[in-house]
Amino acid sequence: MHGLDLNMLEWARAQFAMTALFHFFFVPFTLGMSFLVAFFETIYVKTGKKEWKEITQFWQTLFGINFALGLATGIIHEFEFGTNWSTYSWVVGDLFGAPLAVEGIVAFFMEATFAAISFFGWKRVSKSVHLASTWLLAIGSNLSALWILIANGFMQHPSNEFGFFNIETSRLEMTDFWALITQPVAQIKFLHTITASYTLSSLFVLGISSLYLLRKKHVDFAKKSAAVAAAFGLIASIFTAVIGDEHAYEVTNTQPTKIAAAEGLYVGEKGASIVAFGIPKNLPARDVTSNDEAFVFKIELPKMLSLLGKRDPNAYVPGLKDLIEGNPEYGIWPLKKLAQIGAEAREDLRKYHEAKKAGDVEAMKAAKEDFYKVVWSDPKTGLKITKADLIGYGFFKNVDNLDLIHPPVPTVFYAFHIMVGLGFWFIIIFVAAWLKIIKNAYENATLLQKLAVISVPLPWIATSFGWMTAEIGRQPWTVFGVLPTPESVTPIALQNVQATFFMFLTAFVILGIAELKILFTVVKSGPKGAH
Amino acid sequence: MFKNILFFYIDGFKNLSDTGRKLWVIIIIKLVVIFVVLKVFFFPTITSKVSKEKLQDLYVEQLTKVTTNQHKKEE
Repeated sequence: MHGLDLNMLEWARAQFAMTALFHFFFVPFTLGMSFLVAFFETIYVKTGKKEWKEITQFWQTLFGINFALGLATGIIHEFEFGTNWSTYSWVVGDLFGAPLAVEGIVAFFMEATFAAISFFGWKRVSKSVHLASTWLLAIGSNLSALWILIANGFMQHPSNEFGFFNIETSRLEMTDFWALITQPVAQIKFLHTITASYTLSSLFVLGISSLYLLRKKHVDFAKKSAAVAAAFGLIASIFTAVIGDEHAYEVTNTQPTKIAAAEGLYVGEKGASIVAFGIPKNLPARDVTSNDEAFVFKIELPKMLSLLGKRDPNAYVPGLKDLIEGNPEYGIWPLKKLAQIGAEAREDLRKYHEAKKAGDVEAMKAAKEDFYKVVWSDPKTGLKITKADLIGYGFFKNVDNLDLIHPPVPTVFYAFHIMVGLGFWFIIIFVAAWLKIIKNAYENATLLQKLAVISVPLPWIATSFGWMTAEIGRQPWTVFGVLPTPESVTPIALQNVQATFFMFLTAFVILGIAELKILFTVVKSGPKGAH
Repeated sequence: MFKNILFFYIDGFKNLSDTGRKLWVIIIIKLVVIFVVLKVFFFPTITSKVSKEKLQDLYVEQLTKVTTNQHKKEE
């Protein structure tokens, strides 16, 4: 594709996905468990009862194992940005790098400082200082996630409110840091991610506690742990669903290709349905004439996509076909038109830099004026779209397969639906557990305990599928509408990426086994063996 | 104050549990692999050897390849 080696692209993507998924194995556990440990310790400090100290220290040990093994696994992403994704780093580094730098400086040092007091300070600082450190460690860990998701929110929905494409430097540059950190997409992503993480860690604590109850071991410890986990998990899982709905609303209005792929919506509809269950076909959008033929079978919830995505049960939701061929009735431009404007912006960029080399000031001025020419404006909101804003679409000027403009439907559909389905399962588990706990009947609820144990790995699957929905669903863009993924990579030799891919794979497998082995050993020893 | 902080860390490391000791060994091996082996041998910083202007030319060429190719075809 345009001289870029597709294999290199695929290997670079596979390597990044593997690193992200491995890193994300640790992240949600850290985010949620840090707060659970803070809750347990708060109860200990309030009541002064030693059993709560034992509970705190046991779960803190499991938190520590995860924290230590996950530490620095995210750094590998930074290496990959430089080596495999250098065009991406060059073009968006100013905007993307700023929140990452803040994360590194503020949150990382905050975590490192308070982690030391929280782990080493049990006998060395006062109860209140120790408790404050545990809480600040939890807040610091969660703030790290905020900065990362601000960076990711920009990739999902780059806005003129916080940046613009500078023709002089050929880069996206930041104009308003406050607007970048308060962007709604990032805030919603952050809330959805942290509540999902709290659900994950709560189910972990509930599951391990249930295991002890099934084996009639550490019964008092398990009952107390399960009560806190069920309460936190119930609140977190409900909030995850509520914020997930708000997230879906944002996505419908900012990334129409993602939501259309996630719901298998090929042809736009008024009063569009949500597919509750279904098997989608992988079809070229131009060949599809009705949404029914795009599925082997499906069970729908009528009008729900319009209601949840547009807050109106009869609203129009564009399908993949509309986003390729355009739909004048709803003001949707065809991809060919967007690609033409994007190509003109790229031509302006080229002319500008050629004129700059030749010292032709007039030609530079003309190219710059054309580059920032307004091609669409909204009289109601005053929003203006310039050629520069559509520069990414220029990539599709010479692409024959226009279906490349949207992500693969079955992958995004399954990832999204499995995530949502598991999310509802977690609510059921926590509601049932909480009802038993308030009736003081959880100790004998063996079926529920077994279900909780079996469900322990499921939140990891849900959060990974959620991440895949977000990232694969954004394709073919690294920065939605601005920078296509095939143009974001570095034109380097394929062997370099392949070699590091297998090195990372080996390292991740070893680390993963080490994590699980140490975790299982501590869980098997129980609270007495943790310290 | 700095002395107190230093002793706090020294004391903390001296009194590590068995699990803590294992974790620190893993952390040190991991950091050596990431920052020494991977960074030095597999992810060297090559851009510092290229001037900023040349780097910009490279990326402008990358971004305008679509229209440049078309330009050449038309010529």
